[in-house]
Amino acid sequence: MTRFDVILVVVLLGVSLCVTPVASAVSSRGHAESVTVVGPQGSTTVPLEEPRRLVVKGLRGDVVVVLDGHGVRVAESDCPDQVCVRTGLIASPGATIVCIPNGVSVTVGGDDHEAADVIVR
Amino acid sequence: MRRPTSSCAEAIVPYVPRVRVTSYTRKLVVSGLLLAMACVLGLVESALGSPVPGVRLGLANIAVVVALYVCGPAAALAVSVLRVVIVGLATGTFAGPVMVLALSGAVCAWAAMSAVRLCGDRFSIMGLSATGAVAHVIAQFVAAAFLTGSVGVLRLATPAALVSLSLGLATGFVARHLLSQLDDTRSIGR
Repeated sequence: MTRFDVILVVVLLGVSLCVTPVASAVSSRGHAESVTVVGPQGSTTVPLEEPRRLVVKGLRGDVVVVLDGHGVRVAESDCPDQVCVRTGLIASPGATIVCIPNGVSVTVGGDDHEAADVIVR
Repeated sequence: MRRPTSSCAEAIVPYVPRVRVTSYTRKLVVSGLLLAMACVLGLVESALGSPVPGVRLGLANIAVVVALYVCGPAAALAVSVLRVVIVGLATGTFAGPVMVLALSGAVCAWAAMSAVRLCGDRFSIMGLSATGAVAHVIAQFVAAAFLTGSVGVLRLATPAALVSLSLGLATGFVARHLLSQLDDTRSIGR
């Protein structure tokens, strides 16, 4: 490791640490009221509060999305790596679960453009 | 003259492998061998699975780093892209969305590592490899955000990028070892 390497690693660390806060700032708009499920055959938006079970047709098979009243998670998916299942329960606005092999994404809040950006008192 | 052996000397001038392949035929053979090595490592890696969502061990990147030093950037790009295609065919992800992620990661990692290589001998092999690993992960997540149409995917990128940074340093260390062996034996040069 050289001096330049240390600088390089510090820069890479900085970039890595910045990605999530920047993405959160860009994506978290509106309230966590709805859940948008996007699949290869279109998208659907459902209220977050109501417990229900959605079966989405993905590119490889079915993806089972479960809303339990507190948040949303992917219970089952026909994909090899199971990244979507292991992401677990999400509830905060802008949070996302994706299953790339199935082309399915689940987003809390969705494209809720009606919500206010800022409230000034 | 005494050879500098301490790591203090390395803090200023890193170890740079001197082994180079310049003749066309040798380049073809050596990059073909490295491609074969990359494919085997890629298959082993896909059987192992990933420790963190979106991250793989990056073993195949060892071959790409070696190709970059020994045969130059063009051969490294060929090794990297053909590896993705061959491993995709073998594991059944060919022409799917997973393949798009792998290709964008591979191309961005190559571009980042070539840029570091063009800076001359300031950076060591480990620094170069770590840059490639982080570029690979970030490109993958950006491609995933485009595929799904939601920026929220990028929220998962920081842990993946941090893990890949350390894995990149580790695979760079392996590549450094391999290159120093090739340097000593003078088996593939010229």
